[in-house]
Amino acid sequence: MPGRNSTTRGRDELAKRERPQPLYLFQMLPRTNCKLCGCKTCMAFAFSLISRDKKPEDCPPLLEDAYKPTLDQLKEIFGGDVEVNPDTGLLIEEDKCVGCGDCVVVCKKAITTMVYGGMVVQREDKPMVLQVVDGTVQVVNWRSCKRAEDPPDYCRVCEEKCRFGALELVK
Amino acid sequence: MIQEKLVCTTCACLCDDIEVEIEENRISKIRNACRKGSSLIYASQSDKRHASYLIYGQKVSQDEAVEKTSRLLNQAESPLLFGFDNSTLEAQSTAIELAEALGATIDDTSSFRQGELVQTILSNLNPTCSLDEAKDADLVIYWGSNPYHSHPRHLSHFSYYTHPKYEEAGWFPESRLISIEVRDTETTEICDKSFRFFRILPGEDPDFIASVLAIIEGKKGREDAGEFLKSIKSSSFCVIYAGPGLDYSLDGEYQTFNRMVNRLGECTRIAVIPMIDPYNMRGFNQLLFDKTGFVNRVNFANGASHGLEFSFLEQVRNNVPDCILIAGSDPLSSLPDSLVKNLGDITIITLDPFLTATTRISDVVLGIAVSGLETGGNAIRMDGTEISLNRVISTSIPGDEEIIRRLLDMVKR
Repeated sequence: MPGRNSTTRGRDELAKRERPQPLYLFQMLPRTNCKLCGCKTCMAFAFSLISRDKKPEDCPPLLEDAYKPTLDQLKEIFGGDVEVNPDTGLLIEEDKCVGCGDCVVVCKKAITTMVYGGMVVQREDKPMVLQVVDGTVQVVNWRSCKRAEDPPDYCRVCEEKCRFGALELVK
Repeated sequence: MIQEKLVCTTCACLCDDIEVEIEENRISKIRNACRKGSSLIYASQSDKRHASYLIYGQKVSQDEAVEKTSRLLNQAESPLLFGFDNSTLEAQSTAIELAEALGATIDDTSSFRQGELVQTILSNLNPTCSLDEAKDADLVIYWGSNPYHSHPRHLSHFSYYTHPKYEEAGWFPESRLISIEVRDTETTEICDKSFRFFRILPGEDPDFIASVLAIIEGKKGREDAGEFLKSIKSSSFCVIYAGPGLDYSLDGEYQTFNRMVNRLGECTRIAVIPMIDPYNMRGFNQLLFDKTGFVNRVNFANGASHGLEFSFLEQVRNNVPDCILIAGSDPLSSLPDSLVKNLGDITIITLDPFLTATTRISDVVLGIAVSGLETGGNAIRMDGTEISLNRVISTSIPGDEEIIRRLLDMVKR
């Protein structure tokens, strides 16, 4: 490929880590709202794919020959057995995690501080939500997560700070 | 189940907050270690791990292997000792004594990269600081280095995220980050958001440095060099983490870099810390520097002489050594084929806890314990701080210090 060298390769690899957006997935689907998958609309099915409640194979029209390339593409995006933490909605792809601990540090900062009147104020200390165990990050104390508070605070700092796309908040 | 703390010896960060759970003398869980660190710890207790003594591929006893090694070293006219960057300070010190006793040449992987930078720091030509002090830096510069791949916990444990004023909830990090790189990396992604990423072409670093110097002296220079200078001037404490990318680009010629750092030091507080890979390369450099005034490439045949001709690469290229003792290093995996060919005619003795490409072609292999896990000692972190290593797993395999000490005693006899 012309112009492909070690300098451009970095950008290509980083681009692969970008997450699919619901609208992007919706455009890939048949868009017939046939309800055969159990969802009311194809848009709802796109959201269910992201939250991992549904798999691409759950859409019967996608199993037809005409949609085989789409199905393969969706399987590539949502392939692999991954487990979503039911309490925080955090999906950790262990294959991508390098255990750098950025998410652990920023999460600890996020749960122990809050913005009040434009100022950062300290909150009470809490046990950390995430920890690197055996080289990859794991949820060790979901009760400390801002999403477990009442009312929940839909914080996404761990996902935003992961440079490898290993963390995804799907709920 | 026992819980122990240990120091990770995978890279020169020497992270000292690693917690392990041990059941029946085997580690069953590791907390806080990155993927690289965990892999090394688990690999050390793999069934496939090589920890025996071989002479020409045949298993022998430890005594036989050590005796054969001392005989080969004694018979050699021009022995070369190489590696020791993954050994404890005690083992390195004994190895330097062994080199002296043999009148041998001694070198380590710093002769391939970053040796010159460490030499400038030890000679006080460049200002430096400890990683603990560096946590207060309000400007962090990674130059020719992507810590997410080489030292995964560097940002979260030592630099960017550890700044006391870094507040995630406020979304306005006080600590700023600059990356000087040839390509987009995970580190440059942070710079895009928070501060600056200076993309330069491979080998363009000397030109960039010259430009910064020119602008300081009131002349015209590159636009990005001007921006870089402005950022440094606006900071109160700046730390440059110099990686191998800078070293390869400068080709060991650090004079202009030193001049730039010292001129920048007139505007703000500045420190340089080398992003060293092997966990105790800095220790080897320090010990040899204290003894000879040089960090590597030393020959003890007539006192201590230093020169490029005593580097491992030049020695192998010119077929000088007739016997090489390699400790904790795998040069065969990184050397070009033209040099690997030359190794075929040389007697090779390897000390390594693992089976590597180099152990496969070695005449004598001495399996050793993994330091920081199966044997204790001391090591020097990338910033020059001495760290104590704990022994958490008991094993009958001797450490490299014990083997080298036995060799030294035999050679002296």
